[in-house]
Amino acid sequence: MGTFRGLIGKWVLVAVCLCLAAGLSAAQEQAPAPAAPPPAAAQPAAVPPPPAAPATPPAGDAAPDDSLNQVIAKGKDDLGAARKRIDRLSDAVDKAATDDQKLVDLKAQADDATRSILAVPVGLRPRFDAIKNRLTELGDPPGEGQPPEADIVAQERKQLTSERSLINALTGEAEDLSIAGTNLSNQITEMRRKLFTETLFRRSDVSVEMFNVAGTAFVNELSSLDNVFRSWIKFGLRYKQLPLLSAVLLSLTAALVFLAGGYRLFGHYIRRDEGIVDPPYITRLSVAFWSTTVQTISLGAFLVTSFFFLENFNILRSDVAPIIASVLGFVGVVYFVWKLAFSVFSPTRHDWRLVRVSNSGARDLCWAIMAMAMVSALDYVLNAVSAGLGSPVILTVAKSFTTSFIVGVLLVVISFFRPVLAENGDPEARGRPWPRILGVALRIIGIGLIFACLTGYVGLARFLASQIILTGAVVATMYIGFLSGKAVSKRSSFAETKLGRALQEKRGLGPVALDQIGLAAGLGIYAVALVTGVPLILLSWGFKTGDLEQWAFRLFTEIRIGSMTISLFGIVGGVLIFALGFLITRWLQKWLDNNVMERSQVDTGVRNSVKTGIGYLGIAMAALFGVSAAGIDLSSFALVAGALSLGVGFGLQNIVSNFVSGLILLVERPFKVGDWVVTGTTEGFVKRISVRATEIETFQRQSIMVPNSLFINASVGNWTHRNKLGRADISVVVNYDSDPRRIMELLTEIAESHPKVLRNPSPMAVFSAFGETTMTFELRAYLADIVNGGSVRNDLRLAIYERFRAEGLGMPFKTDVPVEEAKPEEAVSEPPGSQPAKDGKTSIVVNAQTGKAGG
Amino acid sequence: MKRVFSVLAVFLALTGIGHAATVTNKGTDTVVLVVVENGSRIDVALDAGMSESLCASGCFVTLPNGDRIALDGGETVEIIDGSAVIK
Repeated sequence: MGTFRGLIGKWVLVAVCLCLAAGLSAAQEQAPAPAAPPPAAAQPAAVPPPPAAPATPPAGDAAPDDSLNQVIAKGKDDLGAARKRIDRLSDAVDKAATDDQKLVDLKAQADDATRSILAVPVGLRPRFDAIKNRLTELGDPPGEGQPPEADIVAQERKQLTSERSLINALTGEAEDLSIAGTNLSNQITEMRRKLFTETLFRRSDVSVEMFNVAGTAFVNELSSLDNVFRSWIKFGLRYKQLPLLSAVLLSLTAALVFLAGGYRLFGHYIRRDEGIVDPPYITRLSVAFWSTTVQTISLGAFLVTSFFFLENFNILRSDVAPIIASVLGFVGVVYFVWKLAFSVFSPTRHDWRLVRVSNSGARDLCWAIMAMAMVSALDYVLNAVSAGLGSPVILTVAKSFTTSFIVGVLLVVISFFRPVLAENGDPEARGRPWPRILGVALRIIGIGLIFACLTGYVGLARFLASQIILTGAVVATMYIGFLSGKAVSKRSSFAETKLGRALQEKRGLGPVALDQIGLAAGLGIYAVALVTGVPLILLSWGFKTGDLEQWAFRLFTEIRIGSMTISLFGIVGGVLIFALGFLITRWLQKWLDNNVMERSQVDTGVRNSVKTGIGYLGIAMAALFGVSAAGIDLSSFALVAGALSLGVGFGLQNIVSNFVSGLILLVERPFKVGDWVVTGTTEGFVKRISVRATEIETFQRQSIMVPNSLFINASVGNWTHRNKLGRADISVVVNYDSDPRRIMELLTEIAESHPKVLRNPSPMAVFSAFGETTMTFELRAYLADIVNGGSVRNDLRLAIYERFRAEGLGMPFKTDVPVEEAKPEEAVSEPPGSQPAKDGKTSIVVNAQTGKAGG
Repeated sequence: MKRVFSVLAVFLALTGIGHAATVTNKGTDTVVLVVVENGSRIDVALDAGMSESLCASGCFVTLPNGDRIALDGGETVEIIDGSAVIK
């Protein structure tokens, strides 16, 4: 914040200077100073003006001395201040050589100072650019033999050059200073590393004598603690009765508010419903979570408000306050661990347990964890007491020894537990021991702690013990997080939660959508567990937040592999831009199709072509933008593409040819979606024209993907190209007894009476062939929509049959001789007239010659 | 639509986090820059027409003509005839 304000200050100053300079030069322009007449005017004929020297006075950006010196002087001052700051920090570092926390602060300050140094030359940049521009305007000084330039120009050049070197020198100085700052920061890091190792591996004398001394010190500490508290309580009761009482009452009220509010809001989740047998995992989890949170927050509220009121009512004394704070913290932490352990392990009710352990295992683990938390928290309280009362260091060593020793012993004891559920899954049965690796690791760590204590490395043991407890707590929490993620993402488990049911009712989401939401929620929980857990572990191992931030930043902005830099943000950005482009394309397609083209009565084929074309174009552009945004250099692709193009040309010949054919189909439009086409052996309706192939659905509803190149290279028949008008032909065979004119009349009449047969062009009947015993007629009827051909032909045949029968045509009809319909192939290969009646007698043969039988 | 805009907003927020400076050699010869970044001095050779991303955390650059410039990241620098044009 300070640097930011400083930066603003500098910029304001620079701006003011520039304004001043502009004002001054403008004033000069208006009234040339009489004291210094331009030399060019004094000797107009003797010296011709140099080619680059302008006749006007200096422009606004090249300011006169004063303001310019102000800018540079300001830079100089800033640099001086920064140098002093670095020097001061360097001294402070020497003094704080043993204080880790102070070193952390100093490092942050050193980094800040180094950053602020950069602002000085950056602030000088506008001035520097102005000087450079002006020098370019002035041009090179005249060479040997050339007439000398005007004095004023020479002077200006001299001044500008000197300023330029001044700024260069300042920047150089800033550069050196920034190196010094970085070195200081690195030095601090090195010192901290050394300090850490030294503290950790400092050996203390562990002997009976040491414990004797520590014991005496402890007794002294207890008695002085007794004195301090006795006097404090006496004082409080005598003079601060009312504040004490009100503090306690107020904090109790706060706790009650939280507790009552928590129960009111989440009461349903806090209590275990005794009626439920074997509750689902999510129910168990929410009960564990809410009961732990609400009750701990209530207690926390009581503790925090107690301290707050005690402090604010001036009841606490400065020597008592840290001890009381540590005791309150102790109560809070132990209560939290107790609640959490009992919610997770649920020693009394195995069906409410969050982890799969046996009954005895749950009980043992609960107590072991409680013991560990108690020991660590007690150590924390005792340390606060020692610090408050100024006890000797040896007491701290003894306490660390005891704590680490107990934690070591507890770890060894835990390693012998048998918490894993018995093979038959019965929680009552005696469980199995830990997995081998875990058991051995626990034992080794526990024994290691005890060994480190006994050999005098108490600092190391204490550090390890607290790390194990902290890391263990975080890892256990992460484990429960993963278990919950797994439970939520389990098939159909989200739909059973309250939220799932609410979504189902209000939004009408189906089971599949709910399942997907559950999966996403589960993955989200995994991510949250990882993203919070891993930094917490790293923090507890002594990494600083700054380091972590920088790592995360590096991870997301640049991963270097050789000379290539990959940026996760870039890639994510590229993908997002592509997705955005894709969405916009789809939206544009829909909008154009529905709002513009449909209302403009554009032909469906054109609509489809335009839509598909825009789709290709949009996706190609989105891909290009995405690739560029991801920071992938397209020029490197060009090289690879050039080298591979020959191979690709051969290998992808078919695909490319189909693609290009697809584009030609879109432009030329020999058929459109919905057309009835015939190509080779394939016949059916066009369903979709895509990049590589066209989908055709046959009349049997079989989808056939026909490569686009086939449509370009072979002939394609289209029944519905310009219009749907088509002719349906029906051939009719009768014996020579009938009157041909009457037959033709009848046929035309029948066709005309059908509602779907067009009047114009009118249907016609033709006498098409003489057979040995039969005559063949053909009825040709035009239909508005050839797609209906099948049903119309069927109707016509029926009508012909019925009518002929009624008129007695084609007689003698014999009922045992069926009306025979030739197969289409036969009809195509042989003339219909050559189709004799089976027994040599006359029959009616009705043929479909058009081949449109399938419609 | 709302979702699209929120995604866009998040994306813009992410892309605004910070960038390195880009230095491009617009001249015809290779130039050597002396770059001081994070306390270390390195020589960066730039072939004609090439560009390089430098100093995300700010740096000092000494140009072939002897000028020194300070970059705090995000600038686009063009080097022409040994001199720098900062945009």
